[in-house]
Amino acid sequence: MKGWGGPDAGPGTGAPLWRRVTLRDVGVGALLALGLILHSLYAEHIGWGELAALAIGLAAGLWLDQRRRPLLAGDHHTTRVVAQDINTLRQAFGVLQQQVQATIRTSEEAVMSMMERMHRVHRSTLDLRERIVEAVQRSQSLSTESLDRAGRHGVAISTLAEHQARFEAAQRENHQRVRAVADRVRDLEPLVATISGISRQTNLLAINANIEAARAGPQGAGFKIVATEVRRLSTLTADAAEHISTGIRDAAAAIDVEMAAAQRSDDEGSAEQLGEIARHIESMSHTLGDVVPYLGQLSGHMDGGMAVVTEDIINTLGDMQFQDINRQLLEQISQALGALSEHFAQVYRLIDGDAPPPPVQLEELLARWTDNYVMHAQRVAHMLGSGGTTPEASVPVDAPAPDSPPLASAHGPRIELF
Amino acid sequence: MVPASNCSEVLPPIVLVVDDSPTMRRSVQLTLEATGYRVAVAGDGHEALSLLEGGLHPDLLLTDILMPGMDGLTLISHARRLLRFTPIVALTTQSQQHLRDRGKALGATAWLLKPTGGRELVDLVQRFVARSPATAAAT
Repeated sequence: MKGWGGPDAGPGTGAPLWRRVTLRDVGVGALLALGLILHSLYAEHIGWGELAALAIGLAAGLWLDQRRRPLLAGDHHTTRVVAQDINTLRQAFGVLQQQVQATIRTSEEAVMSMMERMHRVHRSTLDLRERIVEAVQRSQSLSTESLDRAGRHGVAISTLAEHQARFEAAQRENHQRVRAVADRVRDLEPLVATISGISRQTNLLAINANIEAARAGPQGAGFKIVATEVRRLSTLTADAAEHISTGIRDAAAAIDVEMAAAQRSDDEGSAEQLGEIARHIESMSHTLGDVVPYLGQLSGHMDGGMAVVTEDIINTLGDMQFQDINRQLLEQISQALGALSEHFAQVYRLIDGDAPPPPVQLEELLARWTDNYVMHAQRVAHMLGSGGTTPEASVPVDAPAPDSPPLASAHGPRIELF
Repeated sequence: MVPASNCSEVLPPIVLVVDDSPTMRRSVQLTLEATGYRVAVAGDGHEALSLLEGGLHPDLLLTDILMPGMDGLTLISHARRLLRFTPIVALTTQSQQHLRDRGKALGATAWLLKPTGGRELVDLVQRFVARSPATAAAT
């Protein structure tokens, strides 16, 4: 062990003799030499007893001085300053230790908070996804129902259009039949002319009968009555023929008007309107049909986006492991600072003369820190900090594992499957 | 804590995560839960062993090594007697080869150095666990 060399060997025991002679030693030697000279010159006044008393007094003074004086002898001011600085150094280490521990607590709380936030974000996005999926399902159901209804409406419209077509065909046949009736009514007009001609002939016959009755005198009175009746009949026939002719013309004209109105109605094409409605419904069906793949595509995009978000979240959670690594590093630093503080406290007590030297030198203490290293990064940092080379350059990877871990060994694979 | 299940055929796999660091436990727990696994957690080997002795039968045991109380290597040695065929994986900062060898001798299935998280950890867990959460959900 590289220690202080035990309580009998003070610091600097390996230095040359002349380097260890202090001003106090020279002074003591000079006093003793002066005593011997005075004894040789004035032996009657200064005997061996006085000389021995001087020597005992000097030895006692040196002993008492040794007990009171700190090891850094010679300059009392320097000793006080160094002792005070070392004492302050302990406080500084204590502050650093507290700061490091505060860093551990702060980082731990912050990371925990971040993870909870991420967790809430994840839950929110999952909830959103469920809502979207539900909306898509409802939309798909609505679309399917609308398509079904549109299909049924289309069938109904087609049936109506078919019925309308049959109705229109029947109506056209009826029109033709009515037109034929009108034509037949018009065909009756020549009969009116015939009746009118008969009426005129009958009137002429009545006139001739009157003439013959007048020529016959009283014997022709009966004949005159007959002629008068025939004339009256002719007049009635002519009036009837006129009424019949007027009626035929009015009936034919009315039929023509109605036929024209019916034709206009047919031209407007109610069947065509129904067909237009059917086309609208069919267009609506196509629109609804387009909505279904759109919603499916939307759902697919949402699923993809959610997968990306989830991946980011779990990778961020993995990144949070830095805190555990930092915690171990900081805990190691904290322990080292504590050891340093204790070491220098003991050095301070040594300087003050109240305690023996620390059990190990600082170099040995530094070497012992490596016993607590668990991470390859710690060993690398130690090597670099102490002026050494990196572990990979100094230690072969396949070196056998010793009983105690080497200062810097290869850290092996990050993932090892046994 | 996730309770032990008697019908593990229809439930997602359960992973027991053992780590003294609360951030590490929560990180691994949330990562695995986000991908469909059930997770039970313990703060050290004693707590984990109590769960196992209480009837918990995980599909995977994921443990830290350096822990106060019962450390990871001791837990592996005890857990291996209770979980003969269950994968036991070390997730630790301890990189020394002699510790890896010790873990392997005690029955560990793999040795992962921190940080190993996110998709990499999920893929590894899926590799160790015979059935995936998706398979369990399908059944």
